Amino acid sequence: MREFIRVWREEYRNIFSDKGVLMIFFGAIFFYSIFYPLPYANEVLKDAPLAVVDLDHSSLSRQLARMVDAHESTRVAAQVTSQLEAEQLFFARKVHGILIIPNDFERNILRKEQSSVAVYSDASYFLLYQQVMTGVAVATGTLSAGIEIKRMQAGGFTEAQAKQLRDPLQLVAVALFNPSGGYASYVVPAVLVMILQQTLLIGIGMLRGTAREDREQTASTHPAQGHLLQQGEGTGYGTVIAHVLGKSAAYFSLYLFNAAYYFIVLPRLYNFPQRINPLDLALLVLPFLLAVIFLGLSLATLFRHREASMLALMFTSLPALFLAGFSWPKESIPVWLRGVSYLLPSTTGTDGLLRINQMGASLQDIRFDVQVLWGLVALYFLMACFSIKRFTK
Amino acid sequence: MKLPAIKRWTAGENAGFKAVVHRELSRIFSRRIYLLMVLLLPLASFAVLAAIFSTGTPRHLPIAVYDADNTDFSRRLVRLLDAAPTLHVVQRVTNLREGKALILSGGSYALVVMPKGLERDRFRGQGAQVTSFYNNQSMTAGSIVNRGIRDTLKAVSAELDQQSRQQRGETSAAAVVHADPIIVESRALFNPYLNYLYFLAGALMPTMLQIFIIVVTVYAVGVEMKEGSAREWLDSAGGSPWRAVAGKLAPYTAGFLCVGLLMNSYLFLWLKLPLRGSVTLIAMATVLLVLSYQAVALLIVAATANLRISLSTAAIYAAPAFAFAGITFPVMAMPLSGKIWGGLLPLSYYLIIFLDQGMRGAPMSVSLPTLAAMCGFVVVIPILAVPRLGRLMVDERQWGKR
Repeated sequence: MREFIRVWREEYRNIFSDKGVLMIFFGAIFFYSIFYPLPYANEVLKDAPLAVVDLDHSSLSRQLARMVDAHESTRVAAQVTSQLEAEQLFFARKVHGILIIPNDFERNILRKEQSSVAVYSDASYFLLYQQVMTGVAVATGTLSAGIEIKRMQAGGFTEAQAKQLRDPLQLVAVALFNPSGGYASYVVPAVLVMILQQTLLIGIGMLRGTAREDREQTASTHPAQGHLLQQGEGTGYGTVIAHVLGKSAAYFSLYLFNAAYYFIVLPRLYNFPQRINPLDLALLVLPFLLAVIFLGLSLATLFRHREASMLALMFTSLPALFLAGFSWPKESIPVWLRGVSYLLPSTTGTDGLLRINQMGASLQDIRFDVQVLWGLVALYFLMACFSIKRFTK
Repeated sequence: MKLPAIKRWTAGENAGFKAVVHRELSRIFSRRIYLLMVLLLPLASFAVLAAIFSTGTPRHLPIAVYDADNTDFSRRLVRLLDAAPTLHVVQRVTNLREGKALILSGGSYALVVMPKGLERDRFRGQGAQVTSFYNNQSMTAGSIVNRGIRDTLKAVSAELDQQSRQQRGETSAAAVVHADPIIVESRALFNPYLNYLYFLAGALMPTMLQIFIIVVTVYAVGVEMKEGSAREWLDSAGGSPWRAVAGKLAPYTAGFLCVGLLMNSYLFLWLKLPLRGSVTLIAMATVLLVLSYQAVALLIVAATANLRISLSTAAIYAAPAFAFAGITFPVMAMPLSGKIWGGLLPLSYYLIIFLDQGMRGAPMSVSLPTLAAMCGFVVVIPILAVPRLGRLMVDERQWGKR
């Protein structure tokens, strides 16, 4: 127990006397909290620009163009006379969609025949594609429904009857949790989990790399003391466990503040939909942080230099983010890779956090995530003990 | 497990570009981190990314249904939903609470509710109504599921509409025509099946590559200051900082160009991404991507004169680049500050060329200004960075800092 407290305090000293570690544990945490949400500040993409090729020049075709322009997801950026012109605008990235209204558009409607319009949309950017499609589909659908209802009214139905007749099976679709489809609300909470994990792993690796550099330096100048540095007398199991827990207590106590900042303060600051239950959140954050810390201590044994952890871990964020299943559905990840992904605390950590914090789930709903995390805590604790034992030998 | 000592340069051999290259090669082979970071890890990360998106488009996403009507009609709807390629009905729940819990726990992405009296309402022509609740926090899956449900029910609705018209005496052909006065023929250009492998993996691999390039370059240069070997490095180049920098970076440039070549072969030949434009332009852009990130790395080391701070700065610069490059969330929707930051990243320009000349098959002329912008990075930044780097190499106060 004394050893535990001693290591804990010593690790505080190591952290607070190391500008590099402070910059990661606190500087990066703060900086990224402002920087990462920046591109998504507007939340949704409005007014995707499209070109209209109106070959009909009728009042109805102009009405359709106006309706597309009026829809919030699209805007008519250019009226051109030929498809070729529209294509040029497209490749110049001035527009991301082309609406072609053929020259028999109004005539067909007046003859009570079916009219069609063609829309080409930019599927090299999925969000733009979606907005162009939505804008054109809604505008055309509204215009079409209006025409049909008028026709039916002419045939002797009331407006209400007409509405029912033309759509006998209606669907009411309710978007849950992020009703406006805000992009920041979708991406940022997940990225925050990843930042917590990566900064912890890198910071712990940096502390260990530094200790090793120091030790090697001491070993070369005072060979006799080299192996005794930092760990006191024994290397029995009790001491090893005290070491692991002491260091972990230092990281954990600091990251509790970071987690509170990321999961409680920031969502309010950024107005993310948030349905928080503090106790459930705490019971998720506890195994998540412990799993990351023990993983960090296990990995740290690989790092012989101060910078090595940053070098080796920085690139892992992006694949880990897509393995977490918040954007690319986990059901579509190959089974073997999904299995491997559960070794990363971020996979279940992100899933659990989004469910608790953004969707209002209870701990009961995310018990699978929590169980996996506790499993990782046990696994990485053993690995951490093993690696510390080797280090202190 | 002792660190193998880096082979020291001994004066007296021929100093110059070649000498620096030789010196660097022996440094590279004396520490395994270089080989890992230049070749193995980039290739491994490409393979993982390709594996993540290997299915291309999500299929059979789990949904739940609450069929309170339990009639022939409602059961038929359930079967149709299950048959939709993007959907898979995993559970029939018996109340709303159960359905909600299933969404919250991740067991399903949506709950479709068929209320009591659905079939009756349909026969009476009283506007039968089905409600779906879908998870829009998981936006990709949520919107795919929502589209699948909507399209399925729309098809049923159109069929019912046509039936009732026929009952009212319209001929089948006329009934079809009258169903919808205006129809939309839509085409998804460039990526018609909305394949995420084409959309995301293609953009994520260069994003990974730029992280590796900048980190390795910062480390290779910065470590000379930290370990106090910068003067020896400069000496091996015969005192010219330009030659020192060029000779040092050349082996990495070659290594990353190989990785870039493998990356593009992997994307276009193996994963069969559409390649409709100019291969030459994509190749040139890849060369410029490597050079421009090496240049930025030099600038970072020159500006901070400290290995650790350089690495942190590189992390801030390169790690969030994907968000600013505008692939998933387009640049046009970003605030001005986001647009400016994105403009300072060579990756943004690279991905524009990559898409224009790959998937989009744009005319070559479209990509030339973008290519010129990338050249700008490669020309201007070293002019800013190298002279100062040369001064740092001989400034012993800068050594040993960590």
